[in-house]
Amino acid sequence: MARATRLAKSLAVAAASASLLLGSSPAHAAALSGRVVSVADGTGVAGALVTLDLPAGAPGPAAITVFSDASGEFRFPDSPDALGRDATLTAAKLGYRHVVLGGSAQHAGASLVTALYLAPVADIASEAPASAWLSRAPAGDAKNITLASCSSCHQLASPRMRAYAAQIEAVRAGPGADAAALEQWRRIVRHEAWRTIVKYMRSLHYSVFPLESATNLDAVDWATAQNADYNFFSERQGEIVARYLADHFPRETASLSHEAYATGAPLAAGPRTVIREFAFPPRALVRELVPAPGSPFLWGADVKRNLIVRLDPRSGELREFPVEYAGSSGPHTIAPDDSGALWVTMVDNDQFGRFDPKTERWRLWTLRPSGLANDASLGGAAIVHDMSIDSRGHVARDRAGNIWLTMVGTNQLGTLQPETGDVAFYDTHRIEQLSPINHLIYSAVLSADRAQVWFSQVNGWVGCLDVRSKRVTQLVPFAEGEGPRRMARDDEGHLWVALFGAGRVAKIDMATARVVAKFDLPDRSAAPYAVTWDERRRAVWVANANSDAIYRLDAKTGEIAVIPLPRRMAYLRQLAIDRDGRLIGSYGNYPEGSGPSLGVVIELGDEGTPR
Amino acid sequence: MKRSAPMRVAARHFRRLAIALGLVAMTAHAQDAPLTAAQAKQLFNANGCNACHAVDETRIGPPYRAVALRYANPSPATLEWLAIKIVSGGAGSWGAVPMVSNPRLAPRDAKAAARWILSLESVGPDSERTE
Repeated sequence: MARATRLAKSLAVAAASASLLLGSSPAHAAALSGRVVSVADGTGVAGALVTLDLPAGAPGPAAITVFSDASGEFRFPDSPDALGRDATLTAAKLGYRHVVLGGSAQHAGASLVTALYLAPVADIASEAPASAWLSRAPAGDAKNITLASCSSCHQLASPRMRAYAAQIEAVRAGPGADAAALEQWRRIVRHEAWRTIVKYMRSLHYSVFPLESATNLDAVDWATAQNADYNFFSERQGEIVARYLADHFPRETASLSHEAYATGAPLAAGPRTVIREFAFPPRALVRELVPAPGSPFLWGADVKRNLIVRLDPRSGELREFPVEYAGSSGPHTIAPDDSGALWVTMVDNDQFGRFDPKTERWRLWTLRPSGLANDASLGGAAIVHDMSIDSRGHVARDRAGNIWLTMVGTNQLGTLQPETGDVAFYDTHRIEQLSPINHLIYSAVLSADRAQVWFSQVNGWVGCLDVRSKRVTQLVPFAEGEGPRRMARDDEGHLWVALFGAGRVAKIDMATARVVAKFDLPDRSAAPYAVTWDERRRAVWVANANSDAIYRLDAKTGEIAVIPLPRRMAYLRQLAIDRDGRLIGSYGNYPEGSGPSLGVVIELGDEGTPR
Repeated sequence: MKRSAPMRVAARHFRRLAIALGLVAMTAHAQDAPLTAAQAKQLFNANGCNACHAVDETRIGPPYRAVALRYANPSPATLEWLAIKIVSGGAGSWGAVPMVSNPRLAPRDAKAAARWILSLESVGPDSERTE
């Protein structure tokens, strides 16, 4: 009884202080290691994330995370200078809560050794990813449409969505005495409330643009802001979303049973895996981060601040390079070419640019198809979105030297010949009852022979256009809501497609345009945003918007493994692989301020990592 | 006259305290200063308020001027209550559909927003538009 009381007291203390403060240890040169222990039975906890959060402003990463091994042991590979200052060490694993039982790190020779304690918990509400809240919502087209529509901009179910659901359930003033009448009244309120949120989202996404942008809500009239034709989901889809959320969004949002959700796959991370996170400014909106050949830096596109950012992963130092355009540009997608130049699509003012890291100068091109309204708002914007890439994610040109680009505003593919500046635009696949923007044409991948460009439409299909005839020659149908989003090509003639709404990955034979396999992700609400081909590991990496996790899909066996990320609201869009086999990405922080503003570099420490 | 070491330390602490208090006073003054129209626009846009509200236009929620009309001559308590409502959301004042919460909005900014909204003058035969 006395022991139980002491444990309860310890847990109460832990609630107030969920991490171990390393304090002013003088261990500048010390390596840090230790063990993660379960307070339930004293055994080591395998596969726990151990995160060292470093003081703001310290050189290097903002945080370093390693994983515990089968016996719970963990070890940090390097000893940052900041270790001796106010760094904090936290252990995390879904289904557990970190508790502080007193004591501190002990010196053992040149090492600093500590124990971290985890207690099993029944309620995983504060640790689970956003997707966990939909784990028990019924599957089907309506769910897929909801995921594909909402998760384009934010996590589902985000904390704000859960707070809103709680407000709906708290509404009073309806019939009070008759329980059946009250429930009937609540059904109406729920539906109207979620319909209101759909309207809110149609206009809210305009307000995330900079104030100086012509696509900012301040510059767009209200009728335009609410026009579903200028949005990424149609009027009908908006009604489906509202109905689905009204019927199936969890009513209970204060707690989540640990039985409701599991990561669902073996770990793709081991005791040698190291995740380093680097701080961007809180107001930054860097959604994609890539390495470039010949450069020690990582490069990110900041859609909010009209610039690209250069991160030095050795020091954490940032440098910003504003787009040399007189007005808002909205850098969206960034990819290197083989020479190390950075190519950047921009959602504002029809711009596409090339940045030379050596001269630090921009060259810009305007891509404006005919047929657009003479209006700079989203209804009249070309929205230059993605550029054609090869199997390494590098910008790829067709046999005539053209770069192919997806044009969201017109549901077209565009070409740019950078040397001559020639541009042209070609129609793609069109679905009845969808406006051009509704299709949300997204990704472009060039075939190995550079004779075909493959495109995806989030609200449509995958297609293939012959670069000589400029005609669509192949179409691969997908059900509404499956949401083919970003794609990657492997070196064996397959196109891999992230199915954003369905939580699956499709494998297409590029020769026959047939889907040869579909792989269910462990979390079908993960909202896989992009896939990246890893030639060295013969695997496809899946970046997810909703599940705060990365999946590794073995190309040969179809087996899936998971890397849980150390942050909640880690809205991940895209992954790149550097020459040393590291995974490079950035948490979306979209809308600005909703999530962590961090770049992330993952050293897997596996057989694909050069020794 | 030379001061002793303890006195010098005390004097240094006093100077620091004075500077700190001065900064607090300046900050408090800045917090109480009404937002300009440009600052309000920036604040409402950055937090997505304008996705539901406008000064005079009925969007999803009530126009700001309608809010100002309902809560004319507000007491300090009303101002606080509205600021809390902006951060926490709520329902019932303008229908059963709840307003979303804005948890990222600092209480200071919420209060400044509420003050700016309630400073809007009504539009009618006897008044002139402020914009």
